[in-house]
Amino acid sequence: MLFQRRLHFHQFFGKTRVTGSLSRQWYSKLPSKLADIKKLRSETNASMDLVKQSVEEAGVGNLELAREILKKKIVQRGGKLAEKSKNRTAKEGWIIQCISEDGRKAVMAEINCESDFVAQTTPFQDLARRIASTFLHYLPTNHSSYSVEATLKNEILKHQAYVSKNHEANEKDVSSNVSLEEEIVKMTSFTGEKVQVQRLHCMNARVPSTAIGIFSHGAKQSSPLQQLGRIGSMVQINSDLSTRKGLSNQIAKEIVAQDPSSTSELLSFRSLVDSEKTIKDVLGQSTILEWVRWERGGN
Amino acid sequence: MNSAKATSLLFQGFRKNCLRLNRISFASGLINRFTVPARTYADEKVFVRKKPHVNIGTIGHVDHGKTTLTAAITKCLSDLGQASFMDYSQIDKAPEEKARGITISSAHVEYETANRHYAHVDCPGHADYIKNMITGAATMDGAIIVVSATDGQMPQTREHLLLARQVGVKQIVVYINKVDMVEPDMIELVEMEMRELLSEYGFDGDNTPIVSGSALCALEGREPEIGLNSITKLMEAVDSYITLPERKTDVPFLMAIEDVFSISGRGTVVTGRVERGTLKKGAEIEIVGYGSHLKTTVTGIEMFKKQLDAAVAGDNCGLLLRSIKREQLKRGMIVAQPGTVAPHQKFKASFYILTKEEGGRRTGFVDKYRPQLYSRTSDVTVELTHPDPNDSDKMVMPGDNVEMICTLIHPIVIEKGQRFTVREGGSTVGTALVTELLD
Repeated sequence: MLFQRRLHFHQFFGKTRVTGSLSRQWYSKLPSKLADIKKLRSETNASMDLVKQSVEEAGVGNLELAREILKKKIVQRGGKLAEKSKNRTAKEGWIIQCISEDGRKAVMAEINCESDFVAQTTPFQDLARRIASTFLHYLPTNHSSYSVEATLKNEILKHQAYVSKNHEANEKDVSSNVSLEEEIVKMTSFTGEKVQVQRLHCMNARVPSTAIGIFSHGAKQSSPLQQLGRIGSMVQINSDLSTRKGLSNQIAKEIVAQDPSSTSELLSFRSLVDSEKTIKDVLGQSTILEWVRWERGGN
Repeated sequence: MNSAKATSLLFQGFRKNCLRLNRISFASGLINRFTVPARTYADEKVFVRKKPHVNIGTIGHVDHGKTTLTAAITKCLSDLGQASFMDYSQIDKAPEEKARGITISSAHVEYETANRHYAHVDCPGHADYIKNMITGAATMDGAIIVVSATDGQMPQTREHLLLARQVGVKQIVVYINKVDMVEPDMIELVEMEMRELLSEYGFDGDNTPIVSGSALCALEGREPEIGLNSITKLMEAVDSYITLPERKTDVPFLMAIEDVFSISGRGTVVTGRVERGTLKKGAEIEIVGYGSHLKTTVTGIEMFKKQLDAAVAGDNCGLLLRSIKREQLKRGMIVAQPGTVAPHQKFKASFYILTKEEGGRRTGFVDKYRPQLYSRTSDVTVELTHPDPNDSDKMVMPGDNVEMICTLIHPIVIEKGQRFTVREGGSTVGTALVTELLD
């Protein structure tokens, strides 16, 4: 039985070699079980083994049932891997920031994985953006600047689903029924790596004359309302209306660039963009109220 | 009498040269910073390099058995007397390298097949491979991608292939690992998927060797068909598929001038270390740099009081030049085979900018930053700008890997693939690799 199947497959494979080129059309000639496996592999990032198990349990040809079984297996495997990798170090990933369209609220998060290979994948970056935009939506606005404590972080991760507010230009305004925690577990299932939300900081511009700026460095940016990078900063300044938005973002950028040890040191630095001026000159009558600067995997 | 005196003067010149180097080293540690010590893990055996040398790296997800495979290779070849066996735990605990002050996490092993000598590098992260490439600490002529048969390719597998392309790898061999845990037809499907992905990312997917086995079985000495035999097949595939790099002695001659002497009765002598190629006594050469372009003949080659018929890559030697006056030459100029080098003032390079922990800058910089470029024995001011004019206010930060346009205040010999550092004040700011000539 096994020998016969093997021989059959080799005959097929021989044909593939003769034509000299692998292409998608050849998958349609695969034995039906392998065709089902290939199809589900294309639809998800699930591992070969999970897909195979799902197809076998559902029965060959029953793709709908296989998809349902696979969803459960993905989460199960992710949970198992998350438990197994609990004590491993995860210092790669991104500093991700998200600011509301009116500029009154912003969040900065560090989302880690184990290798920079995973950090660079599109799925991981998309997950980071979804996490940041969801926290932006749900974090309270009753303090002007605060670090998010673990209980609040875990509550949102566990119970809140992804909420999009059109922060990504090409994405439809959709909501998901899947919690962030489950999204993270699925990412672990797909990549084999530990994924965690390491830290969060939230700023609210609660006084009309204040403005929030964000800036991140080290990755391709998709939108001014979201920043992704190795190094990020958030700043809140007291400013007049006319220069509010541009100025606060510029100060955030200077903070990323200059790595100041204090506000007074920052004020004395030469501006990176306009080296004729100090940061104090750039601010003019405005003042810096609060700022935070994070580097991935560090302080 | 005259000949003996001239030789004695030449030797004095060498001594003076060495003293100068020592002063430089003592004052700034510059020489030490440029030194990349050879690393070998062979305790008892010393590999005699009579075979062609190839640099190879493993890439893949950590749980797919990359390190186990490396250990299995050293065990397999150790049993044949061609490597020092390195256990998994030894490879995993290999110390971080420091190349030109830059922190690179990597493990290095060496082994031989019947045909070749291999230096093998294994890094945990994308950034480490990039730093290896730019600094030249451990380059890769080829790569082995490790994929587990139970998982197949993962989202990050395409990042592994992008990295291989980025560091200049043209040939990849695939090892499908953990085949003891799956059915044969699943292995075929993993292989087909890998061929498709390789082709998608610019590699020859149809002809890439794909070997299936179990590194763990090889390491534990069981199931030889998928264990030891698969490692043998893998190394045969690597031997036959990964092309040999050009040998340093086969390429055109080049030597950077370190010092110039005038020796009465014999003429002008230049000293330096041969970077590549072979030079025979009597050969025609040209000398390029600082706006000069001279042609002459080598009338003598000397090394440590001995006159030689030829100099080869790696030699430190003095060259006697016909009809050239001392005043026409200076440190930093290049002696080369005619027609093989040219001065350039504008080029593109891939940079790694050192972090403050690595002794680099604390803050970022923007376009028109003007550090000192150091390459070979030259130093010259360079202005750095982003290739895209829209990025003129974009920052470069410590820790970045970035491609930038370099404009020198005056031309020196620059070639694609040349390495250099940039410094500011007394510190190294970055290290770089020339990727494209622009003038």
